[in-house]
Amino acid sequence: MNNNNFNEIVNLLNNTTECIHLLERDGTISWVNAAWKKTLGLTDKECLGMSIQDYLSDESKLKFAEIFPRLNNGESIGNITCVFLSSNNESIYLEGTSTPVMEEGIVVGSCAFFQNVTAQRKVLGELRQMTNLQDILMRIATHYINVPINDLNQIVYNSLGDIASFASADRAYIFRYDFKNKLCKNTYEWCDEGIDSQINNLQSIALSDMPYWLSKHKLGECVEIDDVELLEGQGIKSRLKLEGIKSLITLPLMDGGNVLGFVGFDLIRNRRTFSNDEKNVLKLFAQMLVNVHNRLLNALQIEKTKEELEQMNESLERQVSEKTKRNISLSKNIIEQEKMATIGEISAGIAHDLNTPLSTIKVGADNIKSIIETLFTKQITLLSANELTRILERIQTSQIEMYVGGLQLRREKTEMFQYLSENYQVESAELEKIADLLVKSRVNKEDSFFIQYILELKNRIQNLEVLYQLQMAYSQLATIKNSSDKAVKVVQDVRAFIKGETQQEKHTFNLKSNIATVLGIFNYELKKEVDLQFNVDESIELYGFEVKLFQVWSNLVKNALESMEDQEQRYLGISAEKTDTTLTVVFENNGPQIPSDVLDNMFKKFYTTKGRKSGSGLGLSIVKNITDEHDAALNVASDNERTKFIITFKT
Amino acid sequence: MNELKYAVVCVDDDPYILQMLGFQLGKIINQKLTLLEYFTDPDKALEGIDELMAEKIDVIFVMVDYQMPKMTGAQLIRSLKLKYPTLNCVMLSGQANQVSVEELRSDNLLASFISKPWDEEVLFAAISPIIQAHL
Repeated sequence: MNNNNFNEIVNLLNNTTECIHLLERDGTISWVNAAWKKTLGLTDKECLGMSIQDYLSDESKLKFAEIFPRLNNGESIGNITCVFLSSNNESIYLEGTSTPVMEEGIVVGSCAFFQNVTAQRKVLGELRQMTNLQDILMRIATHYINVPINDLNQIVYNSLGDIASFASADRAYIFRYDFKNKLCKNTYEWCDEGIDSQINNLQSIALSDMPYWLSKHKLGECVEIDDVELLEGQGIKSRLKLEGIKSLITLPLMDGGNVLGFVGFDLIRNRRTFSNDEKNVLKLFAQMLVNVHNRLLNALQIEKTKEELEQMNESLERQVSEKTKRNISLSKNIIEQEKMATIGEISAGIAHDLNTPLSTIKVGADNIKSIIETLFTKQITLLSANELTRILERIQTSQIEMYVGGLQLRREKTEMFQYLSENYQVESAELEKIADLLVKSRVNKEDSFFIQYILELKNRIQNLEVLYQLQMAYSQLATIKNSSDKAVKVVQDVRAFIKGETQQEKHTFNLKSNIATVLGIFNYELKKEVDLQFNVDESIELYGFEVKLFQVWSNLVKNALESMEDQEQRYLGISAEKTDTTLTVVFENNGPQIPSDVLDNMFKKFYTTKGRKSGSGLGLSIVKNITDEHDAALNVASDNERTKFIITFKT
Repeated sequence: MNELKYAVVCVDDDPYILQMLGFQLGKIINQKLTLLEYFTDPDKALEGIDELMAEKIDVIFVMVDYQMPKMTGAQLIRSLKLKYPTLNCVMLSGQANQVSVEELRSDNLLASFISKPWDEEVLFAAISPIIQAHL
């Protein structure tokens, strides 16, 4: 080929858009066309004589290392795609064929024709990345929605892997800043196959060792290290080098204006820079992680709150059940206490009811003592045994009268004197004394046989004196007996009334004596000008709780007495009526009419119209309680004349 | 039999008390001259005392219980004192309303107060001066 021809060819080659290079066997560049130089931003001076490997990406270097032996063997190779690095370090994708250059049957080099496909590649790559990005974000986003909290860790780990693959990173991780302890800590790590895990070495890194990272992250900015080798400052560089990191990018995890930590991606096998698009995706991912983190916190808080609520619920339930139990036992206590309060309220009356018979007993004992003294010091020794026996017989068979008024005694004495003077010849003064003693000894004219016996006695006055004294003693003994019975009855009534619930069982008992027991303990109060009409048939029997019913009657009596307190005429009627199927007990009083609003409330607990005066407000609620227990109906009717409490038992 | 000059009246709703009281009073009262009269009903007592007064019988004292049906001893004493301001009234009670008793005392209506149960000596010590002053 002549020189002219050669120049023409060179011209031609320089004018084509294809990138053409001529290499020697070892890859040394011997010639490049204008398109090649323009594409890679190089001049002849810069590239001629250099190795083609110097302008290839790491991956393509390997590819050329494989291609050269084949070319040198005389093989033509088509469809080569390789990545050149331009002078400004951009990746240039070239596609084409390479053929050996033969001289005298020997391969002396190679010639390659490449088309610049960088633009296409870029579009394709972007398309692929966009698709990838959408895929990944969609996948991550959908994973993060509604995953159970327990699975979140796994999802975060998986998404780190997904994103790392997208970013062609070898390791991905999340660090949390702990500003309180001025540390940061690796909390999640994903490593590609064949890459060493570092998480265990990164649990406690002093923030003071990474001021630059921290300041960038605080501003919400990424830290990018394109080439660890180019880092200044040995501390972090040596650490990163130790981990074999060539490039990395870390992005802050921002929650509002606060940085929580960062997510980062290490490149260990290859150095690489991240495009703006990639960084945007990573930023999006970082934001997603923050959202997940917040969701996790919320979920934990919700879980915690739920647990607390459940605990509170349980504890409330427990408290309620304890309180209920206590209330039940309380209400039992209250009923008991109300009973004791009733006793307390009427204790003055009970004391009076006991004091009266006790007074009688005490005075009676004194009196009998003085009678015995009188008998022995005066007359009794003068009487014969027969006389004493006769007197005793007389006393034991005679009726004992409680007391006789002076006027009556005087009248009887006059009559007796008359009788004696008509029938016996006795001196008047003595006869008067005899009449006096006979009358005082409760001997009357009809006892003529006994009078005759006395008058025929020699020491008749002494006999009459002894008779009178013994008569007195006997009548006082009878009174003592009666008074003791009265006192015993008071005590019995009170004891019956306050008797504990030993008799839990229902049984049959007499209604009249049941009510009478209560009237007994209210004896003193009822004596105060109350017209008591107690009309209950003695034959009526009732099946129920005997002791509990005391409290029904006592509250109705108490209620009636209190309502009538301010009036002069007080009426309390108690009656009972029995039919084949029912037993109705009515307590009726003439107290003031009860207003209808009071009627509506009167059986409620603690309802009282008595203000501070008296009453626990429990009385009628207890009545209601106990009648309910008997399955009995409790009704009130009140008009301006009478107030009736009507209790209807089923029989 | 006709030398009756004096009377002592006891009012208590409990007849047993009257019986005991009567026995004791009988010991220190000259029953030849003195009528011992008992009432369980205050209204009857009022009537009875009116009758005694009408017959010009000198009522030495009236002994009344406090708590009685229809009327308290204090009310009875006030009624009696209205009619007979010089009448001696003694109260014998186990359950007297302190306020009413104090009011009687401060109004000079009460000659003496004896609480139940009583001792014979206390009773006699309370009424002896009244009897002495009368005879």
